[in-house]
Amino acid sequence: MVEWSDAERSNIALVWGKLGDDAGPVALARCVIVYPWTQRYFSTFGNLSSPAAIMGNPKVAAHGRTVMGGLERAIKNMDNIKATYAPLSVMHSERLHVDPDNFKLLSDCITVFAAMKLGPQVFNADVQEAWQKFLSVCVSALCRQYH
Amino acid sequence: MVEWSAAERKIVADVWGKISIDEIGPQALARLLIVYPWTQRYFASFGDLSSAGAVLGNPKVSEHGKTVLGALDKAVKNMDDIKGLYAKLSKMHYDKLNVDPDNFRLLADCLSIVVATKFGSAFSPEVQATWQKFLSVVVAALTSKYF
Repeated sequence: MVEWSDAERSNIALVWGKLGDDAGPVALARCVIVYPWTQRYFSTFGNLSSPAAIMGNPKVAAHGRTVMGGLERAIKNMDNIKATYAPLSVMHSERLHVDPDNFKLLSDCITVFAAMKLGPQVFNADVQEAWQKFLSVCVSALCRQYH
Repeated sequence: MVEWSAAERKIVADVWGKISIDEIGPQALARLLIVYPWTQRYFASFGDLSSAGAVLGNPKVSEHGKTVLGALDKAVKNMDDIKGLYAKLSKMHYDKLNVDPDNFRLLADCLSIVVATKFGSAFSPEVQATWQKFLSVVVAALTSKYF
C-alpha cells in the first residue's frame, strides 16, 4: 500500500486546491497537441487540426473536466486509489483500448500546467515530488487492470 | 535527420534567450535529485544531499547544473547536428560515468518543469511541444552511443 507522509498529503492538497477549473481542459488539449498520436482516441471530437482548434474544442474541454473529476476521486481516496480506480482501469483497457503509456503523458501535461500556474516558489521541489508521486500512483492504478 | 521548421527554431532560440543558465541549471538538477532520489547515486562525491534543503543549497549541485546547461547551449547553437555534437558526451556518459540513459529523460522533464514555472502562460502548447521535441532530440543524442 502507498504510504503518504503528512507533508505529502498537505502538498498534494495544496496543488489540487490551486489548479482551478481550466486544468483539465488545458492539460488534455496540451496532451493532444504535444503528443499528436493521442488524437486517435478522440476521432469523434471534431476539429483537432491545429493547436488553436484543439484549445478551442468544446469536446476536448468537456473531456478534460471529466478526467479531472476522476482525479478528484483519487484526491478524496488517497489511501485506496487502486481500488477506487479498478472499474476505471477495466473500462480504459477493455472498452476504450487506451495504450497505458498515454496515462503518463497526460499526467506530465497536468504537471506542466501545475508548474505554470503555481510558479517556482509554490511549485517547489518538495511540492513537485509529492504531486508527481500522487500522479504516478494514479497512473499505476489506471494500468492495474490491464492484464 | 531531425527536421526543424522555422517556427520551431525560433521558439527554441526564444526560450533559450530567456533562460539564465546559472539560475535554471542548478534548479533543474536539484529537482532531479529530490524528485527522483535514486539519481543521487551518481553524485556520491557531492557531499550533503540528505534533504531537499541540503540539495538546493549544495554548491556542487549548483556547479554541475550550470555545466549541464552549458552543454545544452551547444545543442541550441547546433540544432542541425545534435547527434554528431553529442557523440563524445554520449560515449563518456556510457563508458566512464555509467549513467542509466533513462535518467536523461528525467532531467529533461525537470528542466521543462522549471521552464514552465518560470514562463507561466508564456509556456504555450506550441512552445511546450517544440521545447519537449528539442529535449527529446538531446536525450536521443546522449543515448546514441550506448549501443
